[in-house]
Amino acid sequence: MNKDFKKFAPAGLYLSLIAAAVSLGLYVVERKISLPLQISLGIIVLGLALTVFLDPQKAKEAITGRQGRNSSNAFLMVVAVLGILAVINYLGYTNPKSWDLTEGQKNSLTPETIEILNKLPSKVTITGFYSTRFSRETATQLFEKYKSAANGNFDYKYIDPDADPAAAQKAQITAMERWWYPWIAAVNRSRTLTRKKFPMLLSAWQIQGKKCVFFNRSWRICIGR
Amino acid sequence: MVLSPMVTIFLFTTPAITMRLLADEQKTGTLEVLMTKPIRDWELVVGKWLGAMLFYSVILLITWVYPLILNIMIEPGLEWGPVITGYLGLLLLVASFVAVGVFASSLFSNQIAVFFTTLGILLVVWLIDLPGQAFGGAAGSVMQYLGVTGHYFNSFYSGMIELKDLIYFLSLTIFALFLGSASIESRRWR
Repeated sequence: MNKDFKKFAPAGLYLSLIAAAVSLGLYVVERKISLPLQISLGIIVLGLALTVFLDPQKAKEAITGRQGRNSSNAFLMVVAVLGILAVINYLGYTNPKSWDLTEGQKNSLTPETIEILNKLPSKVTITGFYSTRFSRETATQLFEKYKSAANGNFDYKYIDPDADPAAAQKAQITAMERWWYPWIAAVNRSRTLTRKKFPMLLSAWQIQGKKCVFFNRSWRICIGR
Repeated sequence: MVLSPMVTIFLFTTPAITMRLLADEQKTGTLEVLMTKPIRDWELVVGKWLGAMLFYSVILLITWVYPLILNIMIEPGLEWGPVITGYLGLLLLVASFVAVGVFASSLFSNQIAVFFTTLGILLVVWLIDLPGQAFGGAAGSVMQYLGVTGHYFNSFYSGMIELKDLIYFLSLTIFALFLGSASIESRRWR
């Protein structure tokens, strides 16, 4: 290959890298192997082929030479460390353990709540009408606490009222409630929901004879006819 | 509370504080001298990280004056649990930010390049949970988990210490320091 063309070999590599980033972005957004994604994947291969074609000697050295061996060793080490850390993080995420240092343990479930969750007669799923414009982190944290206290009898899901207005309308979630605090609105308006949907609330109501059940110091769920 | 704005301040100051750590050694050629010393590559990287951490620890220590004054001024005094967890979380957050800065500093000899690379990486981990909420599904959950702000504001800042958040910050720190060590080590065979 002409020496003048060799200097363009890294350009093929950069092209592949950009195409790889675009492919990743396209897949995350579209979640399917669409035509633009296929073209992008094709450009990755084309870029790599171009690099090899323009500077085959260097490409060969990169794979079989000392530098190639060292690079692959370093790459494997990075992947191994990343894998170990990913597993540790997964274990930490799936086995929640926390220490509440606030006065009166404001961030923890009360013993009454834990008792209610322990006594759930059957599997309960709470539906949070939650717009993706808002962070679900706080709600998810609370629901996760319920889930870990309910011995597998509690689960939750989210419905985006903007994406699925029919479901929101069915549950009588108004536009104002969606705007302010969508998921609380959904839970507080449980009087409009059926007994079948909220057996947990019903059981708590039956057990304690209360109309409203406090799930911790700041959140409450009400039930009525 | 004084801790909330400090998180944002550290996001922008960490790249400035860390940009010289290894980049300057590379630029002046003293990194080669350091590499001939009887120290391992990871010891060099961790040493640089500890140096920057000492600087940040002193800054954090100085800010303790605010809760101490508040404690004197108000009745019945300050609730110390959230203050302690807030500072612990901030220290862990800064540790991970500085580790990212040390890694970026090992990549270039140009300090401006280091600054913007560090800032870029930190902004990605700062904002990655936002698209995660929109995408949903497993990928969305992973993106939300990778977001750094949730790990601080939802637990440490609220007076909680959660195991998953401890693991997250330690993992980010260890991974960034490992990448920094690998980058320095690669200078021997590149």
